[in-house]
Parts: sequence; structure tokens; C-alpha cells
Amino acid sequence: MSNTAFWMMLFVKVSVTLITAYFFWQVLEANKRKAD
Amino acid sequence: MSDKDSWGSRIGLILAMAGNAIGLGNFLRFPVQAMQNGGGAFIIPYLVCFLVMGIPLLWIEWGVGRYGGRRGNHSTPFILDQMGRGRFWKYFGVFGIFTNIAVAAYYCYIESWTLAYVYHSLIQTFQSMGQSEVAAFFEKYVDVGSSTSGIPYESIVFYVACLFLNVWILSRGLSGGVERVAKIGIPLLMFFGLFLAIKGWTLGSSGAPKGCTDCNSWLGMDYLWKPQFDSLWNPKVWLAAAGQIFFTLSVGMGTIQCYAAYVRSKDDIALNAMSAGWMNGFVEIVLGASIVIPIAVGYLGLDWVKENAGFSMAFQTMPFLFSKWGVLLGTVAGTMWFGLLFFAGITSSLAMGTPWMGFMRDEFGWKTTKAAWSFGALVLVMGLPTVWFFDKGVFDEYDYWAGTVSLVVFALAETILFAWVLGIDKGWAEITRGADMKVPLIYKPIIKYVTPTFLLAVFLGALFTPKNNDWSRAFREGWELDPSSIIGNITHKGLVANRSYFSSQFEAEVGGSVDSIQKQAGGGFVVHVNTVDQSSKQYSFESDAVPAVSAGEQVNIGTPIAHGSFTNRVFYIDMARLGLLGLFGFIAWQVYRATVRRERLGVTEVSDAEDEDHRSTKQ
Repeated sequence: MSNTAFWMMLFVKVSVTLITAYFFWQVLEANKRKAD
Repeated sequence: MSDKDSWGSRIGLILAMAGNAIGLGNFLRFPVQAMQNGGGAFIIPYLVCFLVMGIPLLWIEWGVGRYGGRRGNHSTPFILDQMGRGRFWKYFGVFGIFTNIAVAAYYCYIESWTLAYVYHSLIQTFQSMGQSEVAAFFEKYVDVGSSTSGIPYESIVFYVACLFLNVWILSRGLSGGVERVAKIGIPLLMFFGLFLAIKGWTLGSSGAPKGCTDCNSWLGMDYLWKPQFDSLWNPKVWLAAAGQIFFTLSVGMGTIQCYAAYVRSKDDIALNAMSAGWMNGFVEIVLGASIVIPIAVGYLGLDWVKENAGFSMAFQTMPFLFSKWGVLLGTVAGTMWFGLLFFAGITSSLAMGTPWMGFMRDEFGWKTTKAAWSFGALVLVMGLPTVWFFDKGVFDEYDYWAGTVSLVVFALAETILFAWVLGIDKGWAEITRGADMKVPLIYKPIIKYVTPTFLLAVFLGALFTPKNNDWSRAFREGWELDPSSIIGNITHKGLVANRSYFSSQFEAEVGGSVDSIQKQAGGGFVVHVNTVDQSSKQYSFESDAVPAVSAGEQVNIGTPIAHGSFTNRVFYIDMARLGLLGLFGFIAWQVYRATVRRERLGVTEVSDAEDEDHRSTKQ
């Protein structure tokens, strides 16, 4: 696997994972805020 | 009007919405599209399309749904009627129910394959089979007349069982049925997906057969992720990427609007839409791209996968590859793979039932159970032809018109309605009302200008696709339509022979020389033709036909190769189209009946000013 492909894959996969986790965390936080 | 149903929790709603989006396409269509469109070249247009078309459409559809739900409408005909204030929009909204029933008709069939393959994985049917036997097993399975397990009409039995399961879950309501399945199915799907993705990442060349130099899973990932920036100028890649965004997010169907119609008027939709949308992206990009292609390349080589990448790989290739992992791990992997596809499928097909159910409950006061069973009956009537005449092209016809063209047409129209007819200011207020996140202001002009432009380009691109999808040549040398374009499809441009419904002779569909004529054991015969492009084509005939050619003879397109009584493929294709038109007409008639009923009962639309307190569903 070439370096470019590896870093491209890593960058996209990590970014998508982090963004997904961030939004889900935001939902949990908003739920907690509303419950308080 | 009924508005008793509701979501049990916010997490349940997000998982159900993500489940609606996460489907078979995440695992099968996305990697194949990426392979067929230059690998790494595909991912950049895909991400751009997600940002400027996918996210706006998600917000629009969530907004449209909540807007309608606040006024007691849970399906698109009367939601669009309220937004557009015109008869056109009401009947255009029929698409939001039609698409779901038509897609469910064939989607449940694929879903039933996954169910059947879970069963066959568990009883280790594939363990002792070679690759060609696994491929033949699938052919036998979809042939209604034969059985792979001794169960007569096996494919129909699994189809009906799958449909029954869908109807039963739907009859339990949103929180008691759909939401509960999503809460179990999505985490399980992620777990199964992660397990298989790790296998894909770590396989390397450990499964390479002797002498295979390109059998390495990392080569598959290299091809998928190596950026090829010159392909960015190819409209074909952009259209494929935009098409994938449609399929993957389940936009343009009417399901998101229906689910969102059960959200309380002051609750957030902006953050929910992002959470569900990105969850779908995670499953597609992180998990979906790491399973089929890398594992297949690891065993069969990059060249083989480039040539054979397609939807059928899931059923015709993967069971064979899993069998190489030994009895225990092969059984576990096969069960996980088809289980994962089953959960992806059922969480989507359940969503397809809700618009029809919402409509019948709203307009005719039907109970949930009655509405669910009527959905099942409609799907069964529409779906049996796809099962029975699978090899005649009925399945593909449904997929093209209902699962492809209708989505684009509906999404384009609803975006124009939302941003231009209702007005972007009102639309923006709908998206941001009660939002738990700050919606970037840049999306206001994107929704108004960029998204409709993108959608229009996708639609025109599909309408006038040039020959061989070669855009630069079409611009240079003149426009000849490809048979796969919408116009080419309508005019049956791809059918070069056997263009009449019924005929007394069957014509060759490709030119070449007749290699052999083989008699079949049960009567009938097969004509093998070596085509001019060095490939071969087989024509199978029943016992009541007689050959019109002999071995060694040259045939051209249109040359009769058998005499007898034939019902040609074009007949089934046109009947499928008629069936779809009939379904659309039937739903439009129900909308008309509902309109008459509303007038008789004196039901008035809730105005913007009074809609705030109209609904009070629990959440």
C-alpha cells in the first residue's frame, strides 16, 4: 500500500469516526442538559 | 386524525433514523462504486457531495417532516400540500409513499436472501463448496422452481417470512417495534462490521493462493484510497458519487419526513440529523469499505475484483472466502456477514412501511395493525413478480424507476419547494427551531442555490447520459444517448433484438459464431455462441423450441437462432412498468379519496400561527 493511500485512508477514516463520535456526544450532552 | 404514535427516546429516534439510512448499499454498493469509479478518485467527490447535497437534504427532509407532523400530517402528500398550497404538490407527494412500497417490494427480496444465507451459514452449507459451486448455489436459490434446502419454493418461503417479520414489527408501532429493533440491530451490526473490518485490515497476503501476485488485501485498500486527482474532471465520477449519497442517506424517499413527523415541534432536528447522517457515513466509509473489497482482493487478486466487482459478490463470493477461514471461524464470519446485511436491510425496510401507515392512519383513521398488514399486502402483490420473474428483469426495472429515478425527481422537487416556494427564510427557521447545535449560516445559500443545482445536474446527467458514459467524447463528437440513460431506458434503446412481446422465433442478441448446441437432460437445449469480442453467450430454450442454427454457423444480431413460442424480456419489463404506474395511480386515488373525506368532515389545515400547540406527543 502506498504512503499516499495509507495517509488518505487514515485521515478520512479517523475524521469520520471523530465527527460521528462528536455529534453523538453532543446529543448525549444536550439530553443531559435538558434532563437537568 | 391519529397522532398517537411517537418515539420513545431521542437515542431511539437517532438509531432508527440511522438504521433507515444504513442499508445493504453501505456494504455492497459503496465499495463497488468506488472500485468502478477510479478508487481513490471517488472519495473526494463523494465527500463533497455529502457536504453540499447530503447534509442539506437531511436537514430539509427532517424540517419538512416536523413541519408536517406539527400540523397532524405524517406522510408527504398532505405535508407538501400544506407547504406548497396547491393540488400539484399534494399529488407530487404521492412519490413519498409510492417509492417506499415499490422499493420495499424488491428490497425485502434481497433482505430475504440474507436471512436464507444466515440459515445456510449456520448449517455450514458452504463449507465444502468451491467458488463456482457457491456462485451456482445463488443461481439455484433465485430460480423459483428449484430448492437448495429441500424446502419447496424456498425463495418465496423466505421472502414471505421476511415480509411477515417486517409487518409484525411494524404492527407494534414506532417505539414498541421500529425503535426497539433499531436499538438492538444497529449496535449488533456495528459489532459484526467491526469484526469483519478487522479481518479485512489484517488479512494482507496470508490468504493468497500459490502464484497469485496481486492477492493482498492491502492492494485492495490501496486502490480504494489512492487519490487520482485527474478523475475529478470526469462528470461520470461526480454523478456516481452524488448517486451514492442518495442511496446511502435514503433521501428522496419520504421515510425521513415520516420519521421526523413524529418529533415534537420544539425538539431539535438539526443535531439529530447530523448524528444519524454521520453514523451512516461511519458505517459506510470506516466499516463498509473495509470488508468486501479487501477480503476479496486478499484471496482472488486485484485484477479479478476490478473485473467482477458487483452487488452479487456478497452472495456469490463471500461465502466461499469465509469457508477458507476454517469451519468455526467461517461459520461465525458467514453468520455475522449475512446477519449484518439482514439488520442493515430490515432497519431500512421497516422505515419504508411507515409513510403508507402514517397516511392511512391520518386520513382514514386506521389502526396501526391494520395499516401494517395493508402495507404487507401491497408489498406482497408488488413483490411477487420480482421474485417470480427475477431473471426477466422485473427486479432491475423496479430498482431503476422506483429506487433510482424517483429519488432524484422527488428530492429535486422538494428542495425547490422548501427553498423557493415555502421560502428559504421560513425553511431556515424550521431547521434551526429548537436546534441543539449552531447550524452554519453558509448552509442557507447552499440549500437555496447549490443543492438544487447539484440535484438538477444529477437529474439531467441521468436523463441524457452519453454513450458509454464518455462525456468528453460526447461534448467533442456529438451526443449519442447511452441505453442506461432515462431516455434510453424509456425507449428500450438497449434491446437490439427480440423487441416484440411475443414471437415465433428467438433472435441472437450478439454477433458471433455458434460454438455448440447442447441438449439438456430434462428436454430443451442450450446454444453457445462465441461472440466477436472473444467472450461467450448462452441461450437456454425449453423443450418446445427447436434450433434454427447449427454449430459453426455465423450469427448476427437479429439472426433467428430458435423457433417456437416465446415471451420476450421486453414484455416483462413493460409489465413491471405498468405495475409501478398502477401503484402510483392507486396511491394517488387514495389521496383523492382522503381529500374528499377531509372536505366532507370539514378538516381545515392548521395555519402557521396556530400550529405551535397543535401536537403534544410524548417523547
